Amino acid sequence: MKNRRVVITGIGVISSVGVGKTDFWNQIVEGQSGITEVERIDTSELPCHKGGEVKILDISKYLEKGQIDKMGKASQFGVIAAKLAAEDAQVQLESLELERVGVSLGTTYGEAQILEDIDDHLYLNNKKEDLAQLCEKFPYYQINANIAKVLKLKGENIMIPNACAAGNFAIGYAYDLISNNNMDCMFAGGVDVFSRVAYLGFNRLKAMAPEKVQPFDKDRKGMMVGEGAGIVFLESLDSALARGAEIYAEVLGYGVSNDAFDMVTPHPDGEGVLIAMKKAIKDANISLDDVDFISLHGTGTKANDKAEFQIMSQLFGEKNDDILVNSIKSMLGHTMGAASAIEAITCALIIKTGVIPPTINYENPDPNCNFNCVPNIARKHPVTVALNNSYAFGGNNTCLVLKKYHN
Amino acid sequence: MISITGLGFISPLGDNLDAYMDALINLESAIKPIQLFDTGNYTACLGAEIADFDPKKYLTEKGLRYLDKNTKLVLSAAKLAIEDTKNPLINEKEEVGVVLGNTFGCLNSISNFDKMAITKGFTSINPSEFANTVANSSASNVSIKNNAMCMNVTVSSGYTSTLDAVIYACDMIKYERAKVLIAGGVEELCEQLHFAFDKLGVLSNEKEPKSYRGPFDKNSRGIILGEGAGMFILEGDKDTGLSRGKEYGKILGYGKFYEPEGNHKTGMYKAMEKALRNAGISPLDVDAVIASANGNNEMDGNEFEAIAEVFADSGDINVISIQGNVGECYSAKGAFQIIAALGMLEKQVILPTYGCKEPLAHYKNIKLYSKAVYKNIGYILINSFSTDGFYSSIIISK
Repeated sequence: MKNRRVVITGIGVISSVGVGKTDFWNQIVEGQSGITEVERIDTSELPCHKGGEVKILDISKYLEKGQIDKMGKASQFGVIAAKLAAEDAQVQLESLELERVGVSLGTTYGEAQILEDIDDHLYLNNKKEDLAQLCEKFPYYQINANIAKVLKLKGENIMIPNACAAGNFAIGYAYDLISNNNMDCMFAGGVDVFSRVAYLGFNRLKAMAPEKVQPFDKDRKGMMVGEGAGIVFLESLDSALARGAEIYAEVLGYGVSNDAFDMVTPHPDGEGVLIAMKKAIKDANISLDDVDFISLHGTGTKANDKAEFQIMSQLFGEKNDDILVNSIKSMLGHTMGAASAIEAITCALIIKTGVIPPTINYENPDPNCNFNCVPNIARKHPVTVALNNSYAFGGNNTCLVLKKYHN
Repeated sequence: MISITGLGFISPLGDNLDAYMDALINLESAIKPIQLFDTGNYTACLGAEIADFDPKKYLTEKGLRYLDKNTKLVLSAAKLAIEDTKNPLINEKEEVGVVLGNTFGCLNSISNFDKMAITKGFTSINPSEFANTVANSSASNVSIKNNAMCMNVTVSSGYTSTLDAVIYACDMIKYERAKVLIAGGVEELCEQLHFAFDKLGVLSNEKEPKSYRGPFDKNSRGIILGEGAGMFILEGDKDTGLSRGKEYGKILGYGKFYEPEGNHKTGMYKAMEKALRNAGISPLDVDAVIASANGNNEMDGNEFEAIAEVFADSGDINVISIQGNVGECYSAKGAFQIIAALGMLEKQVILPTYGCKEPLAHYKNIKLYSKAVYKNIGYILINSFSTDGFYSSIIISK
C-alpha cells in the first residue's frame, strides 16, 4: 500500500532546442523547432534528411575529459541531465543516505553510436583502436551505472529499455519505490542519442515526414527521429517540505498495459491505451473530470494521431472538446526513450507556470483528429491535473498522472 | 511472499526439470566447442550452446519467420511455463503481464540490420526486421503470443538481469499492479556477444572441455558463455481462493545493491545482507548459496570472501555454482540458478560444483562439493553479481 506522497523537485533536460530547464522551457513556449538537416549520418540515399539532433550541447562544459573518455554519448547525456536535475533541486546529495537514493532510467537504443562504431569496424573495415573499451561502454545499463558513479548513488539502479514509453516506465517505478518507502529519492527519466538504425528503420517503414512534424494536422506526413535526455529528481513530499524544496508537481500515479497485438501497429480499437489510462486514473484516485491537460504521444503519423483522437473521444466523451492537449514532438521530433520523460517534464512545468507550449506546424484541422491542441502559439491556462501519455513499439502503453501540489 | 507456480526453460542441459537436475547432480556440462559460428579469429572457442534448438518443437510455425533466436527462445520457455501453471488467471488477459531480463537480446538483430544498411544500402533493409531491433521486442512478443496485457517490461542489467526482472515482478505484485506475471530471463549466444566478451579479455582460452576449470577454481582461465531462456509464473501468496496446483517454491525476499566505487566485496555483502533482512531470516536459516561464481577469479574470490563474512557466525554454509554446467548465461543466468534452486528444494539435494578442482581459497565455513549430497533444505540464497557494480540476491524457500 502506498504510504508516501511523491513530488518532482528537480528537472534536467537536454534537447535540440535547449539544454537545462530554463533554456528548454523558454524555447518550447516560443514554439521553436529543433528540426534541422541531419549531420550524424549520410542521408543522401534516403527519402528524408531531417531530424532532431542536439547540436547545441557543449559536453566539455559539464564533464571533465576523463569522464567523457569513459562514457558513450548516451551516458554523457544521462549524467549531464542528472547533474542538472540535482542542481535544479538544490539537493545536497552528500547529506542523504545514499543507499536510499537511486536511478531508474529508460531508453530505446542505448549507446547506439558505440554499436555503429563497432559495426563500422567489423563491416566497413573502418578500424577502431579502442574496441575493448567500446565493448565495455556499450551495454545499455552503463547509462544508469554512470549516473550513479558520478553522483555516488548506491540505491536502486535499473534500466528499463521499453522503447518510446521507457521514460514513463522508469518514472513510474521510481514513484513506486519512494511511495512504498523502499527508496527516499530517485533520479528517473529517459535518454536516447541519434541512432542510425532508428533513422534508417523509420525511413524504410515510410513513417517519416520530409520537412516537419505536424501532429493532428490534416496534412501530417509522419514522424521524425530526435535525441535527448529528460531526468527528474523525485523525493517524498515530507523530504521536500523539510528542506524547503521548490515543488514542480506531485506524481499521483500511473498505469501501463500492453496491446498484445503487434510489434509495430497499435491495437485498432485502442484497447491497450484505454486500459492504461483507466488504471492511471484509478491509481491516482482522480476522476476523468479532474483532467485539464494531456501531453499526447502525438508522433505526427496518420495512424497514431487518428487513433489517439478516437481513444480520447471514447474515454472522455464530450469533455474531449474541452481538454487541452499538445505534442512537443512537433518541435523536437521523437526523442525515442527520452520522449516520455521530456514530456513528463513539460507537464510538470505546465502545472507550475500555467503556460501550455504549443503544437507547432498546425495549419489545417483534421476533422478525424480535432483536438484542442494549442496550435502554434502558447496559451496561458491553469492546469491542475495533467496526463502524460506515451506508447511504444511492442504495444506498450503508459499514462503518468501529475498534479499541482497543494498543501 | 511470492509463489512460483509454473516454470519453463530452454537450457544447454535441456528443457525438462528432472533431466536438468540429473545433469547437475551427475556433474554433466554443456560446455563444448562452439558450432554456431566460426571461432577461428577468437581467443575463446568453447561455449554452452543450444545448438539443436528447434522452436517448432514448442511453437506453431505461423509468425516465426521474422523473429530472432532470442525471441524464439523466450517464447518457447514462456509457453512451457504457461502450460505448466494451473492458475486460471493465466487466461485473463488484463491480469497477466510479462517482465523479462534481457541485455543483448536484440544485439544480433540490430547489428545485422545495421550491417545490411551500411554494406548493401538503404533499399536492401527488410522493414519487417526493424521491430526486432528494439530491446523490448522479445518480451513484447510474449505478450502478443499469449494475450498478456497487464504490463510488459524489459530489465537490462547484464549478469543480474533475470534476478532484477524477478525482483521487479515481485514488486509489481506487492504494489498490486499485477496479479500474475510471467517473469524470467533470456540470452542468445551470438557471434557479436562472443566477440565483445572476447575483446574484453574475460573468456577462457581453454580448448579442451575436459580440461575446463571454472567457478571458484584457482586455475580457471576465465568464463565460458552459455545461452537459453527461463520463465516463471509468479503470483501473490495471498489467499485469493485460486487453485494454484503445484507450487515450486516461494520468493521470500530479495536485495539489490549498486556499488559505484568498484568495491565488489562490499556490494556482494550488502546485496546478500539486504536479501536476508528483506526475507526476515538470519544467515543461520540458509541451507545453501547458489553462487554467481563463473570462473572470473577476481569476482569469484570476492564472492567467497563476502559469503564467508555474511555467514561468519552461522556454522558451515553449502555453496554451489552451476556456471560450469550451463556456462555463463549472462541475462539468463538467474533463470537457471532459480531452476536449480527449485530442483534442489524438490529433491532435497546439495549440488556439486562442476569445474572446481582446486578452490582458489579455503574458508572454514564454506563447503563446496565434488558430488551431490542429500540433506534437508529449506532456504536457498541465490546470487547474481556483475563486474559493472550491480549485485542482486534473492531467497527461495519451500
